Amino acid sequence: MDATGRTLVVDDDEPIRKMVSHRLRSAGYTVELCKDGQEAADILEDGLDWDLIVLDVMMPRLDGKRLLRMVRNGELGVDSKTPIIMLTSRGREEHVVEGLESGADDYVTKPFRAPELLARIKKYLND
Amino acid sequence: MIVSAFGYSVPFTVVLVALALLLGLAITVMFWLTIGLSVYRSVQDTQRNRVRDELQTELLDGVFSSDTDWTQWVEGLSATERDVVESLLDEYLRELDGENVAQLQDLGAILGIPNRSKQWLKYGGEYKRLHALTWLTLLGCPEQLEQTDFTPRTSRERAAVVRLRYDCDDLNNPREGLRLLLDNVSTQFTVFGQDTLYRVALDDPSALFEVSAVNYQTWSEPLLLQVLVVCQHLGNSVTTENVSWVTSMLEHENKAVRAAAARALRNVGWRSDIRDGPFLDRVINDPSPMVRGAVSQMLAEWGDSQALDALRNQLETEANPRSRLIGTNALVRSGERFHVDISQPLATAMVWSTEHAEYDDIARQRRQQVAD
Repeated sequence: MDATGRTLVVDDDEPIRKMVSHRLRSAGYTVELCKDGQEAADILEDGLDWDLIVLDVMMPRLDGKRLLRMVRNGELGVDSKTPIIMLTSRGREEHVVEGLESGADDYVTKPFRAPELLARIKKYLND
Repeated sequence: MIVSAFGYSVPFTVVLVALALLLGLAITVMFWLTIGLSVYRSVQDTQRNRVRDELQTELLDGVFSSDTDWTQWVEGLSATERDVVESLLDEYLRELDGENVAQLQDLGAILGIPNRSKQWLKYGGEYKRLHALTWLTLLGCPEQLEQTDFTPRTSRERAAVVRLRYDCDDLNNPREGLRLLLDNVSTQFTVFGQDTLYRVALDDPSALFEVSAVNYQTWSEPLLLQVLVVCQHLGNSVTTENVSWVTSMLEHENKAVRAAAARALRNVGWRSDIRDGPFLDRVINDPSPMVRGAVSQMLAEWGDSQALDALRNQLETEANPRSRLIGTNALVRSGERFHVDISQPLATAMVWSTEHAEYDDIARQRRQQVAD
């Protein structure tokens, strides 16, 4: 495997975390998992370089939209331009538009096609 | 004191002691049963958690591999492991879409879930039957309904059957699903049922209005409200001629139903018969402020000059501050103003609504700039 890229997967749904990490690790990427926005914020605060964040919208403690704003506003140690893919069951058109307007780079709705998600992730990691 | 019964005489103290012993025995048995059940559940949970990670990895390996032999894998599983795999299958079938779902559905068939569901549909109680219908929906097996000759007995089962057939493209047309949901029922839906009604109706909004026109008189008020809420969210593609059942609901004794009817009529303002003068005069003078507020939003949504004139007339005489504000908000959002001098309370409400709309625009533009 010659793939490179550190991805932070943030989702309160354990099967989703497992599935995304399974696909990314199979493709050779490095993956870190967080079960809610607050845990992710604590990790991002450390200022390590992340190549991509996959972010659920609705989560306990700190939701994905708030975490997205914190990243984009530079409130955390991470680069504010880090690519972020929102992964959510809120799939209505206005939710997608709202997510993209909030600063997300891409938006994938559940239920989703695993190959499509992986392709989108790879697009940002290989750029 | 002596207690006599069935030809025996026993001192009362002995009876009390016997009762105390029986009660103590019952409490002891309950205590140990509770402890035993808790220990059993705990051991089961521990066993399940111990194998869950490994099984999840094996399951994902299988799903994303092209040559997976599920039969061999399933044969090697213990009863607990099968149970864990079924719960994982349930979760992934809800989250995934596309070709990987077919792999998971194959696994479900090998685990024997469709056959088990068939048995539950035949012999199970309502909970089991609903469980079976959920599994059949996830596994995409609508044919099992026909094989078991299953007829839904409750409104929850009706909703589950329609969702199964809708998700599997098994309905001949949306009207069939709507009739299955709404014919000869009176009780309200669960949230799942209302969501199912919305999904099916979205494919043919006019069919919902027409099926409702035949059935609405048999419905309870909660069900009527649920259907009107669905009608409200169907967008502008309602082309049916038959909305008289909704307009008649503007005369309903329950103000919540009248308000819901006004909201449902937002999408059918193109109909000349509901925009005539007497009809508008009647609805803008509803005794309930809540209904007048909903009517003002309906008129603003229609947006033609006649409806906007009616809205202005309503606002000039509106005494309720909340309804007045809802009306001015609706008027401003439709880009309209008053063209004549207006009373002080109404002028104040207009100023507030106009400023609110301006700040809302500024906030949206600002957000757009940040996103750009």
